[in-house]
Amino acid sequence: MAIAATFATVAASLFVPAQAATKSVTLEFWNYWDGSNGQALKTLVAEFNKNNPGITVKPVTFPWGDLLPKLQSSIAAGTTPALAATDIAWMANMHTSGKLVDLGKALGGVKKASGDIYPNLLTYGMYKGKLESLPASTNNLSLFYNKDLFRKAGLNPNKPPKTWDEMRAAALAISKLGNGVQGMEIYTGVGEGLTWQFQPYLWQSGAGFLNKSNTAPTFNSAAGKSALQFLVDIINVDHSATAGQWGAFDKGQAGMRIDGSWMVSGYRENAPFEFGTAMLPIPAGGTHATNMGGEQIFAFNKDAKTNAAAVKFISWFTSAPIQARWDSVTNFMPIRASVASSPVMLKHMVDEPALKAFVDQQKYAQARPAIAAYPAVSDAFSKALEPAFYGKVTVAEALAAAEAAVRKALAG
Amino acid sequence: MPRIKKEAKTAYFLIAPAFTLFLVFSLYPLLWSARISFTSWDGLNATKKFIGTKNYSELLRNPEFLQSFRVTVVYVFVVTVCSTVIGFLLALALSKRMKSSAIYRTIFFSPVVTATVAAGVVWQLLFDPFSGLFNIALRAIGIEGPNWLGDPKWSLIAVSIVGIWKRIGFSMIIFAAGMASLPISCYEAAKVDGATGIKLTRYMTIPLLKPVTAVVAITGVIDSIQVFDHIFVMTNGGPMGSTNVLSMYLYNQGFRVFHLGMASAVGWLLFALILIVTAFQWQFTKGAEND
Repeated sequence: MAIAATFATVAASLFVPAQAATKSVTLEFWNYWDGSNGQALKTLVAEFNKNNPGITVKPVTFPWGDLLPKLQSSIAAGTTPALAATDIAWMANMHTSGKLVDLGKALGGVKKASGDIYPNLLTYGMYKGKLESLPASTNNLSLFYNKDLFRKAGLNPNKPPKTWDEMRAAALAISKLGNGVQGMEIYTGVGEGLTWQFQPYLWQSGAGFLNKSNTAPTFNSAAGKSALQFLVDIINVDHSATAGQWGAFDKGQAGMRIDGSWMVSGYRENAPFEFGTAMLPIPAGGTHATNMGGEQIFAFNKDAKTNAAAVKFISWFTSAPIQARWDSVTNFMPIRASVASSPVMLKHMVDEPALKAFVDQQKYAQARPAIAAYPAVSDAFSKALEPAFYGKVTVAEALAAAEAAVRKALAG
Repeated sequence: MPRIKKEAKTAYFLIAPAFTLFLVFSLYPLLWSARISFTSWDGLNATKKFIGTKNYSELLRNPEFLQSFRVTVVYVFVVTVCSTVIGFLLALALSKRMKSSAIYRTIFFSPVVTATVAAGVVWQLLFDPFSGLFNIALRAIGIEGPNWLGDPKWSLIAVSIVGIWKRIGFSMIIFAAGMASLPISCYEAAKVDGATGIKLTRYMTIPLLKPVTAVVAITGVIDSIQVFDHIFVMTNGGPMGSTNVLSMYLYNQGFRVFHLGMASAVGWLLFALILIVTAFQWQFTKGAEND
């Protein structure tokens, strides 16, 4: 009898998982959220898996720079994951692969699928009239400053610069401290890093980047020149920043730096100095503007069952309650109005005061052109600007060269 | 005859697995990249538009590519010459039978087996303008060191130093092996004739080691012409393209701006370059052996 019972148990244990395995679908979810963000994702995903028997989402994390080449080769080889979340700047390239699931259709129309998601975040998801991705998070660039260095330089640590002139003066004062201390850091390396850090200056000064239809550059204007001249003068006239220098702020060796909200938790844990944040300074007569960053989540076309499971996960992950918890751990910015006003988020803002500047600024966040040529445009733009930071060409020459290069990149 | 046939069959059977792997993972992608190099494919789009030799002709007119070519030539020349000379001198210094020779050889060889990316990260810290060891040392003697990796005047020197550091051990070992195999009788005869120290090195060791030097130089060129890892980590090709070697340029074309067709064309031009240089050096070696 006992033996029979044991047999029955063994048989059952062999049988049940096998049956479950044939029923359940496993969704690989490629992303680049590492460290505490990756941990937060794992916690949320475990909860989803528990509440959705038959679906197993498996997050797979790559370094930021590796994810795009990995996606590229998986698309070419037909071995795409079911789910992925990538930098918004890459979305246009994802769309042109023609392999993304139409989320609008799957969720009962674009309106229903997006709800109260901020409209400028949806621009990255729309392709040929279809909604193919939803925002998984967003963020923006604000000013980080070193309160200790502000004090040492005789500046008020609770009064961060509000205008370009104040920022320049503060940088100059801090650079006079000596010992290799920089007034501020300006990102001058070729690539999207330079472009996305510089775009807010363009927008604040009243210049644009590309025209409305994303077919021609608009940055080569008097306002554009004033923006570039401002940074070039900080480097080459004031010498309060150094071209090609990035990383000094982290060590307490630079007074200011522009960076994203995702840096807040890292600085809170590791910065060897007291830091503060503020909205980006603006020029006299200028307007508030910052760059919008973040990730979009989407599904690659598979069989109907996998697609349905993937859509279910996306819909759950982008829902207000989950997003509020996600943002309060990762320090990303809300993607929906209902997340921004949720009790979880409001409490989080009290717990981490450095986020206020980012939240206040999110409404001024502008989207970069959501076109497939954008990576090439950004690369060409940054390459033309870099020599200006080194004082090798004038601001006018750099912007003229950038205009020509961007036109070429847009033409393909 | 039948026995040879049978042996040949066995041989084919034995190389079949390796050959299959070669076909699938080397030859096929290689030919595939040749095909892509004639298209404007971005690596994602479903269609691959054929554009003939446009990628190649554009590259040869592109100032950025030509700069990348120049940077590569300088890097290859500096790294090959310096690592060969220093490797030779080290091998010579350690050829005296001392107890500590083995220890020093191990120390000098260790960079060869160190992961390049890890080494790149460490060198990046060493080159940091404020907290890096080099500039701290320079500051101690009253010199304000340069912004090694951020200044286009110094960046190529900095990444070349790492390239040389990485290769010295290899050339040292090859030279040491070469020196160990030199005929002792010749040296004894030379000593009888009154040759000493520097003269022995100048008129005996260096000429006798000519074939070894050729091997070290050829592998040095092939190795450094493909440099990527530590430059990717340390400077990403910048600033102002000063360290933008060909493989860096290729990577950025393919994976930063999605010109996969163009990147493949760069790969094939790089291949042609290595082929020409190797053929030239091969001739030179043959000449050296006939000396």
